[in-house]
Amino acid sequence: MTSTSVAVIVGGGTMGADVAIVFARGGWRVVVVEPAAERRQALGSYWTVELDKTGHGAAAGAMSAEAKMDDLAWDNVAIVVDCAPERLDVKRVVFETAARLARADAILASNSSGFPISQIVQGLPHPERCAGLHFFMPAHLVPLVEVVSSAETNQETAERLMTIMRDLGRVPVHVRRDLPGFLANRMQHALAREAFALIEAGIASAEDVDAAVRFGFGFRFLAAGPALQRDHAGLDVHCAAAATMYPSLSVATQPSSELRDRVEAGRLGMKTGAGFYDWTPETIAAERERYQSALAAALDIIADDLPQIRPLEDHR
Amino acid sequence: MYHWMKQTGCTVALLATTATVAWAQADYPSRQVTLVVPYAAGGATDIIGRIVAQGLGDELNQTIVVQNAPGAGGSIGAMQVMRADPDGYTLLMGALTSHSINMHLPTAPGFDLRTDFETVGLAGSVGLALVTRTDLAVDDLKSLLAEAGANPGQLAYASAGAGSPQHLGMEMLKNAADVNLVHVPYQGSAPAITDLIGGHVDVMFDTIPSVLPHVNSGAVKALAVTTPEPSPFLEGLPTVASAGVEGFEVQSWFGVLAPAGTPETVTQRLNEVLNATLQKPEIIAALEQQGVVASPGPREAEAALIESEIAKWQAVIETAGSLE
Repeated sequence: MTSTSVAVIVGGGTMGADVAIVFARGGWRVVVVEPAAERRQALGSYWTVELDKTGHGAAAGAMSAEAKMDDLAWDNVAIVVDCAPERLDVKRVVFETAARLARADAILASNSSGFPISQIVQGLPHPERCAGLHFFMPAHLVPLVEVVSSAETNQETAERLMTIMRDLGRVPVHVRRDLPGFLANRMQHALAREAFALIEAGIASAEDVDAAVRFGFGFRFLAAGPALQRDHAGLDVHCAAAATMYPSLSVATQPSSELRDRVEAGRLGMKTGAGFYDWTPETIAAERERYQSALAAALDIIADDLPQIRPLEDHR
Repeated sequence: MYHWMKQTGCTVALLATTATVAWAQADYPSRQVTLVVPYAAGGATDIIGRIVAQGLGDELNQTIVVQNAPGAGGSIGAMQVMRADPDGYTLLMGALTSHSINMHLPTAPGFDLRTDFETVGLAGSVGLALVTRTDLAVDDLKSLLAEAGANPGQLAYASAGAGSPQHLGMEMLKNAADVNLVHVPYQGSAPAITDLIGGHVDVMFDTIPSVLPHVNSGAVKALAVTTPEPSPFLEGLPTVASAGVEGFEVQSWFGVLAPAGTPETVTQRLNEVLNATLQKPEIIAALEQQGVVASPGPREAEAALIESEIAKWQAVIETAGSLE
């Protein structure tokens, strides 16, 4: 159902198109700003197909796309989410324009994973209403959203973003400092650093590292994160193990040569036919299908723990 | 014999043509319908249009595509529908009050709401509220008018723009109460309210949904509403009419129009589904979120409303003189 509040998503690429779906499912009027005509015109049919999958087909009527931020009416816009290309100059123009056009009480958020919000809005008026709002691909399927405060973001902005995301059926987490990688990616990279260090040192193969995660502690993460898991297992046990292990864990400050060498050799993964593993178009297709269906099944497992999408309240 | 054949042939052909037209109308709509919103995406008319489009689409079991055609204060989109085939497949989400006002502006839009369109039905209306900066020493409409009367030309009123219902509503009040306030036009509601909150202007009319959050947060003071009855959105607030300016009423009306010449079977069917839509609780609730009171009714009600809006605003504009 269409309603009072308008969400403006700047950028109609993969991320922007999916973030738009998240808002539309919750009853927002969503306007995506995408300068490229071809991409803009493709959005409608993509949205219809994706929304139909979850029974939200009617919400497609509340979505549209415009070429320029100046082309839309701003009086009802409660939130702007920047999903523009990852270039600082582009993002600064988006925020300058939004700051000029939007109501004083509208929230201006950026989905950027590369630039901290403090850097994007530096020198702009009212940085207190700006925050990071970091989705994970595909944004309309992965429930986690990081609400990232800079030193200047005020509490009200962060709280309103958390509420809006919860009402949209997402799982928001509040990150109180805009460190590189925010919250989830920092932990993901901490694990990856150790994984590649083990491969580099010849202690385990890439296959065995993958198996140790997927068939060992990895699938437990669907049931409990590291803190809750320790409550299950006992903190004393974990603390003792940590004391033994931490001294030998990787503290590398550069990416592992396992990564760097492959990047230099053009072994970038499926897109170049080889990465840690070798790929053919057939094995890529089969792997993608297996991966997608495993993710869908995983989502089903956590579905009951997700917030319900709530009817839209006035988010002005 | 030849004569008979020819005549019969003619009759058959005629019958076939009539049957095709009748069938086409009975089958209406057999394809996608476009509802033109003559304002930009995200604005009030756009949001109302999308609620109406969704409701109509559900009732008609057909896709209703909303097309934004902004420009020239709504006139570009209205003209586009005026010139479209009158077959029921192109409709206008009319901002009836703004269109009526535009008909009397120096740059006439090139359409006449009364003759260039068929009515489909009213959708609803949005009331205005009279609000002041919080530190203005008035508590009600009477004291505001007394203050304005004692200090002619000293109070400044903001509006969403020259020629907007918000602007002309205040001109109407000035005439009715015989007071003088100075007009400060803004580009839209948001900057006008921002300056009222900041105390740079003293008073303004704006739509109830636009002022509501600021009234509730105490950033502005509300004195009265412009609807004929008190507003459910601002409980306890008197109407301007009941607070001393008899007969005063300003609302922003919305309704669906079709190009002149659209068959009555089509407009009548659209009126029935529009009314069915406007009685659904979820549609009423969605419109309420936008501050719109749904107004189902016969097509004649829309025609009568258009007549009265045109007459009302013509009088205001003639008295107001230059629209600055």
